[in-house]
Amino acid sequence: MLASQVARPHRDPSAFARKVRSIPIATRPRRSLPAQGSFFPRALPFILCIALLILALGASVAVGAVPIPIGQLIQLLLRRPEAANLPASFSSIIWDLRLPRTIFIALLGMSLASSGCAFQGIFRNPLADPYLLGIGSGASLGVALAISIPAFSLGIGSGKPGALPAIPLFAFAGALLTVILVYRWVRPGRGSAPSTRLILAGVAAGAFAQSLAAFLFYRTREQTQRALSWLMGGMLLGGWDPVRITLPYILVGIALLIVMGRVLNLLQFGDEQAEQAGLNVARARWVLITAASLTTAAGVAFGGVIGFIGLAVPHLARLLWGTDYRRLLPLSTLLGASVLLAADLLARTILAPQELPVGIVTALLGAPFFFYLLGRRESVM
Amino acid sequence: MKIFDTPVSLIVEDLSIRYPSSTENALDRVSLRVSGGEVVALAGPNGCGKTTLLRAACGILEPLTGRVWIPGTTGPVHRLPPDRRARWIGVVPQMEKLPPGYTAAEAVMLGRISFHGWFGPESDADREAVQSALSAVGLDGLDDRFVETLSGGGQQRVMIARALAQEAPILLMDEPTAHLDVRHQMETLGLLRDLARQFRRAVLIVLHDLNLVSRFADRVALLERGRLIHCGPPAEVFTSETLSSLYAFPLHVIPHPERGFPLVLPDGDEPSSDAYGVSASAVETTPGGEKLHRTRKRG
Repeated sequence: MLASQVARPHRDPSAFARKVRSIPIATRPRRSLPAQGSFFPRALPFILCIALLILALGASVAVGAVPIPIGQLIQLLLRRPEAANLPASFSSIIWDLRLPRTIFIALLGMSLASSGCAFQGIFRNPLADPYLLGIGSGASLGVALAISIPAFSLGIGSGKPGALPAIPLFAFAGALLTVILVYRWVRPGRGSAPSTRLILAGVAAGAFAQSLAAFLFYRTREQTQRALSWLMGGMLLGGWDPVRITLPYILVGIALLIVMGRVLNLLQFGDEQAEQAGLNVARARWVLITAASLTTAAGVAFGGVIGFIGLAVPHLARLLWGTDYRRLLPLSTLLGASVLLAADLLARTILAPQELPVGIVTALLGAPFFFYLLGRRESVM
Repeated sequence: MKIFDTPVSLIVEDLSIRYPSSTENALDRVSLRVSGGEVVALAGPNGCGKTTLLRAACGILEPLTGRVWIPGTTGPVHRLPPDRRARWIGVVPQMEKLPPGYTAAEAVMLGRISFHGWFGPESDADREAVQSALSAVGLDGLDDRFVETLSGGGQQRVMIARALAQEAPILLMDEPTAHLDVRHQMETLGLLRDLARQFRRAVLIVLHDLNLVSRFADRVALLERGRLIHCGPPAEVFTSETLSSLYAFPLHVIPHPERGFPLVLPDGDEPSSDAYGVSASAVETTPGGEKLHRTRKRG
């Protein structure tokens, strides 16, 4: 009697699986995000981001004190000033001023957005970003040391060979030291770092590093104005040098972060689960932190500390295209370049002919977004 | 599913664990062996150290004394590198909320990281293991569902599938049936028993439901305040005296009328709510229908 009522335990795992298939498990409707869809829906966000980036690059080169129509711009970029029917000075404006700046701003946007995205994943904290964690300021302290301490003699005007390429390394050291300090300080045992303390420690460390950097710049007296403007997110140098020097660092850092997408995904399940699934959590976290710090530092070395790009862009990408870091990281990287180019365009045109440091624009637009995120924190992650 | 021809065992020897914040041992000199082919259940009152023993067994906690080891490996499990450990032991931790944004198949595929590494491509073997793990827990056809759209039971089965996808000879599970309805409890535990019997896995599960223990476990280990007090087949270990004194509550053990395994039935009255400083008279109802709880001052 009783035996017939109780379902017999199944001998064959697949037999009961067949029966179970018909039983509804989920109560909520399926989300419309294409997860395992065909090629096109999966590639669509990438196509969109690349199109946006091309548009932003074009606008950034075309718009300025001397606007250049798109047809002539293309001729100039093809190095045919005669065909564009413009004086040779226009060619110089494009090739020596706007193009290097545009490319550097794009690289900077990529570095900030990709490292912000990675830090959010590493610390499982939706508010992590290179600026709020103090990493950007740590990097700028490294740069300030390199420039202002005579023993290093890396002054920008010193003209020593090897002086400029060494600056990103100092920035990297400063960034890495800051993140180690912040992370070690708030980390209790093996658990995950508590979010609030992480951000608070980051903000404090960042304020300290930034003030120390400013102090060092005041002390040197030379080029103080330029250096302080850099601290606010203005470019330290014009021309192709910043692009040439930072490009390898940024590309290596971003490439490393993108191939670690799977590891970042696993970290989202918590340290214990990730370790039980076979991930060396401590090692993975340090590799990621190093790569993200390198990426941040390379940008900061010549671009200054720019806030909120690393926070806002990955969030936007996550809201639009989901959490899978294998896709989120490259998408954030592309989107970051477009967003920073747009901010830079604003910074150059609002008070033209005067130029604002781009960090002022990103903070003016990014801080309200940050408040918005604080308000809806629970639903973000 | 892989069959392990030479059964692997997990050996817990003289294990003591102490948490840094505590002065008492959470586990005190526990010895236990789980062999390939058997299901061993851990039971005992809340806070007796079941979860601690499971976490120590999977190498997350460092022992104060003693060790946990697997014959055939080089050292104690907490010293094995995580990727090697994951090839030996699959773990289903206590149910937590899964992070949103991943499909069931992606979440299960993460259990294969020790096979394809940090960067390597997913192989056909990985995809096969994920598919067979998903169908073993009855989730096939739902592999592209986002985990946060699954019910608690669905999410729990995703976690079980991830451990199965590791194809490890040892399975450790902490309350794998906590969020499952009775039918899925039976199926999940039946699956674990099949994994032990047919595929020669060693299975160690924490279970609160003593009737599930007696139905599915080959042996049960009873823990009391960090000490192992009994270990053996449920039919021998489960007696009214043992269980009543262990849980400090009168429990009756009677044989199942048809199948003979012991059934555990609570006896006596529920402890009075007065014992907690709240009495029935102190629970009042406001005009709005809300209940107000007042604690009575005790003199």
